[in-house]
Amino acid sequence: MQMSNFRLALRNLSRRGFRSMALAVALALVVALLFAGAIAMKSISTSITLGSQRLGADLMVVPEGYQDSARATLIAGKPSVFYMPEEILDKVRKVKGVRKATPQLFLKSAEFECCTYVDILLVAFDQESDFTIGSWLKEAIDRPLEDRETIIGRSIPLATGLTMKYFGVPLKVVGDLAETGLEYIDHAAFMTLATAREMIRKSRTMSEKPLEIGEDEISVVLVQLDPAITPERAKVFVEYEVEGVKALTSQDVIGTVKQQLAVLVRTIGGIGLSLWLITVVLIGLVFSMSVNERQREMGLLQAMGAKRRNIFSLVALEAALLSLAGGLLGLGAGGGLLLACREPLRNAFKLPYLWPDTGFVLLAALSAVIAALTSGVLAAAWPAFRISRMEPYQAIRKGE
Amino acid sequence: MIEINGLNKNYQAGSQILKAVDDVTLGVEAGAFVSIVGHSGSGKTTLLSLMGGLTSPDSGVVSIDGQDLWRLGHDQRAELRNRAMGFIYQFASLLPTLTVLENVLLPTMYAKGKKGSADAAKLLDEVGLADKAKSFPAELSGGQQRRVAIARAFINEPKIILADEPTGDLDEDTEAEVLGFFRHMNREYATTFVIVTHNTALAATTNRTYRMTGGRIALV
Ligand SMILES: Nc1ncnc2c1ncn2[C@@H]1O[C@H](COP(=O)(O)OP(=O)(O)O)[C@@H](O)[C@H]1O
Ligand SMILES: [Mg+2]
Repeated sequence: MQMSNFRLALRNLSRRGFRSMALAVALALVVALLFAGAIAMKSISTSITLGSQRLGADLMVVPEGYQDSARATLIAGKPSVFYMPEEILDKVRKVKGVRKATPQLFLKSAEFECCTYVDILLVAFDQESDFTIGSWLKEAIDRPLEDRETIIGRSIPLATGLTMKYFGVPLKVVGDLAETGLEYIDHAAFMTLATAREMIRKSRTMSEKPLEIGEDEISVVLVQLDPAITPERAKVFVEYEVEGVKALTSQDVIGTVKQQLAVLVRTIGGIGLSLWLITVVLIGLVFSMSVNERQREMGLLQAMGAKRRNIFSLVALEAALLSLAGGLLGLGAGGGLLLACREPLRNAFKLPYLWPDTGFVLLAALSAVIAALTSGVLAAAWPAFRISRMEPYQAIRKGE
Repeated sequence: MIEINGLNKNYQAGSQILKAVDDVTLGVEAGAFVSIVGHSGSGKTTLLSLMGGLTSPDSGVVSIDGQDLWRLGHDQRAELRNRAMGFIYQFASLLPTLTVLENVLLPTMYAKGKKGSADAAKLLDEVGLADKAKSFPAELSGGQQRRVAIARAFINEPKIILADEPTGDLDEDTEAEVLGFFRHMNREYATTFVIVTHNTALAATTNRTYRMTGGRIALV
């Protein structure tokens, strides 16, 4: 058997088991919060980026004054409707830097209408010029959509084959889309532009609440840009050349979510950091106390030949072991927290919860443990230094 | 072996200066068996601590084998203590978290030497505690704990043993055993002993006895 600082440190920690445990748990709490926070932030921000990529458009041209509703629709899939003349499409197509432009028309399913699934967004798109929804459709049915047919987003609980009726026009569900992470798609029913126009016409005679939309109106123009031009510049061009519209970049669209996210980051980060600070102070205090109680012991070790650095490293090692235990405990707790918060997070942000890639998780875990370790050791550093500098005889007598 | 010259150690006691060790000069040659007697508070423990380099003198020199302790660096002094000195204290000095065997092995932690469990077990046997190796200090009587501390002082085969009332709480038989063990180590290995004691009978059997009075020392 060999005596070592390691064995001594372990024995000292277990002698004051409750105290050691309490410190480890405090640190674990901080680690759990920061680790889970980092992972959650990362997954939310990946979801946002992915979502805006999936939208597939560089710019969204909407009628002036409806930017906020447009954002709500695109991000939250919240049915809101706004319209502008179809001629805008041709004007947009002529703007410098615009490669493709496609119109979409949003209809809000009327409330109180019989036999419909209320409160969904009906999205009509132009199959000819479309470059955004087509790829999703293709995966779902692998043929163009006929008139009076619809493909529904994943969040709408309706079975394929069912026929709904909107504004007097029957709409047959022919398929559903895979989850996209974009509520505007997940929460919408897609149909051809011709179907939408038929609904507008029929609503005037068949519906209690006729749609007040001209037959040549559209809601948005989605734009794909030349790679050579930045969305920010193209936005300026569009707004300058086409009267009465605003152009949203995907940054604009996800801006609100980003803001929400930033608030969350600040809150969690703030709580985590203050807890951390408190924990570090706590560890410092407890180690000061424990080192004071053990002055004689430390003096005895010095009399047996312990050098200052042996004493210092004994105390530091105790702190390190404790912090490591706390850190690992925290990782476990943080992982559990993440799993538990999956649903609330998903609901809060209307985004799919995407687990970040393993590399990031490992990196976050490693950083959290290293942070716990260093803060624990740093907190104990001063008491460790102080006790290591005591004259052995004084230390031995102090314990009396 | 131990050379002490004009040694002084003062403490501040309120507004007064307390001369705990007052101009002490003495020499202890290698293999000597020396005792120090004196009333409580006369400075015996302080002097022993000065000899072991556990506390620094205000003036004067302590040298071990010709080496001025306070000209050595802190680490070198620690090494010297580890290699050449064994301390036995007035009070319980075992680490409560460690077993008896581990306690005895503590000084080997800081030594490059190859002392191990077997050596510790042998020493425990010599102080009559072979069967207590795995016990914890709290499970032992005061006298047994003291004997463990004695075994620990010998583990690195020191040249000097500085013992502060080492038999204070031992019964007569055990005291005789321990002293026999000291004598044995002194004869076999020429270990130098400086023993602070109240026991005048013990003092009488040593090569030389000093008496301390108010920090000053005199040969008896
Ligand atoms: N660290 C200290 N601080 C203040 N006074 C001390 C200290 N160490 C010893 N003394 C005082 O020095 C005197 C000698 O103490 P000590 O060497 O322990 O005597 P002894 O061992 O002979 O009983 C005592 O009066 C004691 O109170
Ligand atoms: Mg004393």
